[in-house]
Order: sequence, then C-alpha cells, then structure tokens
Amino acid sequence: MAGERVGLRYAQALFDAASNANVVESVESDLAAVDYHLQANGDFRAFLLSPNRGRDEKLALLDKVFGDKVTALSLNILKLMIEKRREEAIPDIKAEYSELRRLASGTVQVYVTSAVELSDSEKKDLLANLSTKLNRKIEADFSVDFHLVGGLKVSYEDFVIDGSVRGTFSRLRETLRQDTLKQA
Amino acid sequence: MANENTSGGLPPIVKVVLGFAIAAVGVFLNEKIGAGTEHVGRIDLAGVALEPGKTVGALGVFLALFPVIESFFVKPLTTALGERNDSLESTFAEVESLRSEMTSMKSEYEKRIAATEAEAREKINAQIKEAQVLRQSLMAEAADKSDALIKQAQEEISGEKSKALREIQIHVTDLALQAAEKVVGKNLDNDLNRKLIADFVSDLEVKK
Repeated sequence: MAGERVGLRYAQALFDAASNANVVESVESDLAAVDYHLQANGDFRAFLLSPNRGRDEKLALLDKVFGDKVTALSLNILKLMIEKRREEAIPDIKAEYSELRRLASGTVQVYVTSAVELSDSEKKDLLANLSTKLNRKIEADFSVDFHLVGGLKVSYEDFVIDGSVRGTFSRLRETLRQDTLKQA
Repeated sequence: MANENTSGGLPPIVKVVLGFAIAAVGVFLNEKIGAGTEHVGRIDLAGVALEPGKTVGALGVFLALFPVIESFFVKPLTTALGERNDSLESTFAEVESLRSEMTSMKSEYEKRIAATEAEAREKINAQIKEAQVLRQSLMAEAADKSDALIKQAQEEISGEKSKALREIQIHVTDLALQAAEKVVGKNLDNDLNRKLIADFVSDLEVKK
C-alpha cells in the first residue's frame, strides 16, 4: 500500500510533466518497457530493488539499459526514484500512470475473458457496443479461459458482466441454493 | 383442753384435798373394821380378800396423787400425742396439698401434653400438606421441564432433519448443475459458442 501511494505520487508528477511536454503516449510506452524488463528479467529486478546495492550502481545500470531507449523524462523519473530510495515503487508506477492517463482521457479499462479466442470482428463489435453503452473510450485486455465453458465475461472498474456458461450455472446454483434455504 | 376434761373439771388442789380426805376415811375404816374382828373386816369374794379401808385409802391416795401423775406423765403424754396428732394432720394436709398440687400439675401436664400433641399433629399435618404441595409443584416443574426438553429435542431433531434435507438438496443441486455443465460443455460446439458471444454482444447491458 505504501509503495502504491508513493508510486501514485511519482506517476502523477510524471503524467503532469508528460502532458505538458505532450509525450504521454511515449512515456507510457517507456514505462511498459521498464515494466516488461522487471517482469521478465529477475536479475535486473533483484538488482534494481536490492537495498544492498548502491545508488550509483543502479543509476549506471539504468543508463546502460534504458539510456538510449526511453525518453529523457522517463529516465529522469526513474533516476529520481532511485536517488530518493524509492525503488520499491517503480513496479507500481506503470499501472498508476496508465490509470491517470485513462482517467484524463475518459478511457475505461475493460478485461474480456472468453472461453474461446474472439475473432477480430467479435472484438470490434464488443468494444464498439461497450463504448457506445458506456459513452467512453475503451481499452480492452482480452484473455481466454476454457473454464468458462462457453460465452464470455467482461469486467471493468467495479463491475462484472458475466455471460459465460460457467457464470450462468453459478448464478443458477446460487439461486437454487437461496431458494432451498428460504424454503426451510 | 382434753386433759381438763379427763380430770373432771376440778382444780388439782381440790383433788389433793379430796384424795387425802378419802385416804383418811380409808385409814379410819381400816382401823375401825380391823380393830373389831379380823375376819369381819375382810370380805372374801371368790377367794380374793377385800379390805374396804385399804381400798378406800388406796383410792384416796390415788386421787391425791392424780394431779402429780397428771402433771408429770399424762400432760406430757397428751401434749406429745397432740403434737404427734398435729404433726400427722399437718403431714396429711401437706400430703393432701401435694397430692392436690400433683393432681393439678398432672392435669396441667396432661393438658400441655395434649396441646403439644395437638400442636405437633397440626405441625405434622401442615408439613405433610406443605410437602404434598411441594411434591406437586416439583412434579409439575419436572413435567414442564420434561415437556420443554422433549419439545426442544423435537425442534432440534426437526431442525437437524431440515438442515440435512437442505444440505442434501443443495448437494443434489450442485451435482445436477455440475452434470448439466459438463453436458452443456460437451455439446457446446464452436457455432453455438459464437452464437452465445454474439447474443452477449448484442444484448449487452452495462452498469455505470
């Protein structure tokens, strides 16, 4: 939680600066790249987050890895976080930044889970329909879960629209359970 | 008073003088009759010689000595007898008083015993009655508790039965739905799945 709050503060500062410089998308891409390295490379993550490593070593590593691959704004915020001993908040900054960016642009993040891979037309129709109904821009994250048996499930913010067979049976099971308990 | 009555009411001095007078007459008679004829002066009656002068004289002496005898023997004896009599009467009166007292005490004791017995009987009856009431109360309470326990047990049994039935129903429902889910999964081909997706997209209702 503390890391998230710290990450939010740095993300807010970074987003404000990126908005002023009109490089919001680029900075988000930079953060996505950093996040990818943190997720994919365990040694890099361990080195960067280790309290036993010196700041200079970490700054040198950042320069070496991202010096010519990310914008100066992104590199500076990462360096600033290391100098301030806030390395633990780096993994959170990407999500916080994306959320701030979506909030500013009126975009909603939608997670779509289906039993089978959706076709492009199905995805397009779904997103168009969602955008129309929500009257907001949509960013979708599609995934496949065969446990759903059939259909699909859409979740966004605090809402879930479950149109899967598994979800239908779960609701039916819960309804029957409640009816059974009410009969007693 | 009794001594005066027995002495004939005469003063002692009179009795002494009278006795000595009679004794003198007896001496005179003895002298008179004895000086003439010895045989005449004696009267034989059935072989017992009777001499009137000596007899009269003896009577006179006795009469003269009677106050002395009375003073030194009869009076103390009479007094002793009277005291003895008074003592006996007092003793008898005391005995009678004690007997009366004893009788009254006995009567009182009998009354008290009777009262005590009555009180005890009354208390026993009261205790018996109280015990009977208590017994009935305890029996009623025990019956109530027993009924309550039976009712509670029946309710618990009924509740457990209902609970078991509910659990069985829920379990059966779960099993049926699991089986239905498997059946649906097996029978859900790609076309049907696409139709489900299309229906979901077309019928989509969102919450804001």
